[in-house]
Amino acid sequence: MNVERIRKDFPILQNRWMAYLDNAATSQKPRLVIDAINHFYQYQNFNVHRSVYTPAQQTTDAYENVRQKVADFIHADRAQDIIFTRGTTESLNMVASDFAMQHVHHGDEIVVSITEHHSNLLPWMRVAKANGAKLKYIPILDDGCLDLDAAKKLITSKTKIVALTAVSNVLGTINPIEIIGKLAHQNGAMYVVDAAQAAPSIPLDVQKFHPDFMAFSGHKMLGPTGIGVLYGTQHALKQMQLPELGGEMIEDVSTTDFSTKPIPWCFEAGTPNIAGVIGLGAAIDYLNQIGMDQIEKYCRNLAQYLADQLRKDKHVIVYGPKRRQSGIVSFNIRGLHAHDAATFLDLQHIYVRAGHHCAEPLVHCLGTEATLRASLYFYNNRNECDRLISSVKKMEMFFCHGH
Amino acid sequence: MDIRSLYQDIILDNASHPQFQKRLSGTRIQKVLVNNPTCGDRLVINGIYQHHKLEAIYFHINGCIISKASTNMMAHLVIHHSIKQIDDLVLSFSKLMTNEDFANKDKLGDALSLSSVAKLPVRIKCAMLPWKGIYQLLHREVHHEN
Repeated sequence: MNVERIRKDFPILQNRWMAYLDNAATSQKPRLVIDAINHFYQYQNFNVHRSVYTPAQQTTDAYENVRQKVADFIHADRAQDIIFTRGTTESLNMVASDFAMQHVHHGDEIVVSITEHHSNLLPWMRVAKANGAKLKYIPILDDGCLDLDAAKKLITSKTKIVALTAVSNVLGTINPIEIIGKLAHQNGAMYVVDAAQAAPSIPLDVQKFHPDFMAFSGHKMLGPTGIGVLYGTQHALKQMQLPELGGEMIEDVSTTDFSTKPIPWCFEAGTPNIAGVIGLGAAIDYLNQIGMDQIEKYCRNLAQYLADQLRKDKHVIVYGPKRRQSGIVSFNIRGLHAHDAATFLDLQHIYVRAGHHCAEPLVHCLGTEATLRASLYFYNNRNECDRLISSVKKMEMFFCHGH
Repeated sequence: MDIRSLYQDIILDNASHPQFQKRLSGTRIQKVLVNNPTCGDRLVINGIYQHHKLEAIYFHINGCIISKASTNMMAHLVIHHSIKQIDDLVLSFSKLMTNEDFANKDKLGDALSLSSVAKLPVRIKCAMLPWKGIYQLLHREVHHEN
């Protein structure tokens, strides 16, 4: 993997001043993706699934080809297991509102982990409150890894849903999604996986961990914003009610009744985000060309370098395990609020996230209000990590030892 | 922007040496909690407003340097003032944050040192937090009396 050559593919990275270390928030886009969207609007902009003229059919084919591409990317059985949505948040809300709300009853239990992003927490909280079910949290161990022994006790025959993130957006830990999936299914629960951080960073194979539903976003994996995926097995999707009715999702309509198209098209009412789908297809092509195994290894090693360097500094607290599992490194500088640190970095054109990262219960569980988070992707390099490390030292001098 | 123009000594001093840390006693204490959900900043302000002025103030803050400094400066400026005067200070400070002109700039005292925050829109809410808090505290009091 030649990072310097890869960086040339990303127009925004040509700004040499900038160290973009906020990839868990959103990834940058390679020229290939930007060009694909441009090309679509310039030459291919026809609506899908409704027009009889040839160019519109070509656009429909391009759109449906991406569905297959997404299915292949996660090793799904068939393209029909893929529904296009606006993003992870919409996908998870669909599962909660249009599946769980009907299938979770009084006295049932929903199990999540304390590492969840709000998107994989609040929809379940609402279902639990509305239906009188109980929401339970799998805790983490001191090193930030999921407490498997606790999970074994928490997931029981009362559990109707287990919803788990595959990669924590704060700790960068990869949760044991295969083991938890087995526990969920042994107890007859549906298994929902939030793959928002996983899809861009690790190879995903649904044949290995068998989620009933899985959600991810295009914009974190080089694709455009406003496009995401809900994967569901046919068995699971058949039990989900239709979130929206309207154009394109129907077979026949009379003045009194209607029949719908088969799965997945019945879940995509209205004109979809065609440009988004085309862009996502190009993003997957780019990722496949580099290889998800390569990406995982590179990001983990770079994060290990960054975390090791930061840990050498006794004023720095690095959260999560010593052996890094993905490109995400959350940390704090003792005695300094994350927002002041982030402003200091901002003025040096080093862009990191500061705050609770939409995972407030987890950040509180770490005993803090806010953390800094550097999230690395395969186009980041050691030079950018070094800039961050030396800025951390400078800011300690500035804030903690007078200036 | 230079880091020193944002984090001047006077700001660092105000943040690290907060005054008004003595809890208030009595029956007429008004309390308010304000927070910045995206930062996790939380500020509690207690005040006693009687005889047409803010006679006492206490605060407790978890937050960044900007919000801490702004809170200490605010407390210094508002104590012993009437609602009308405090409202004028709140309005003046918010104009400082939006780069608008206002009369008698000197009345903001040390808080003028926060003017650089106006150049960093994402941090304005940190500096504004205590001003939002004192405004809510006093206007809730007035509302009660009505």
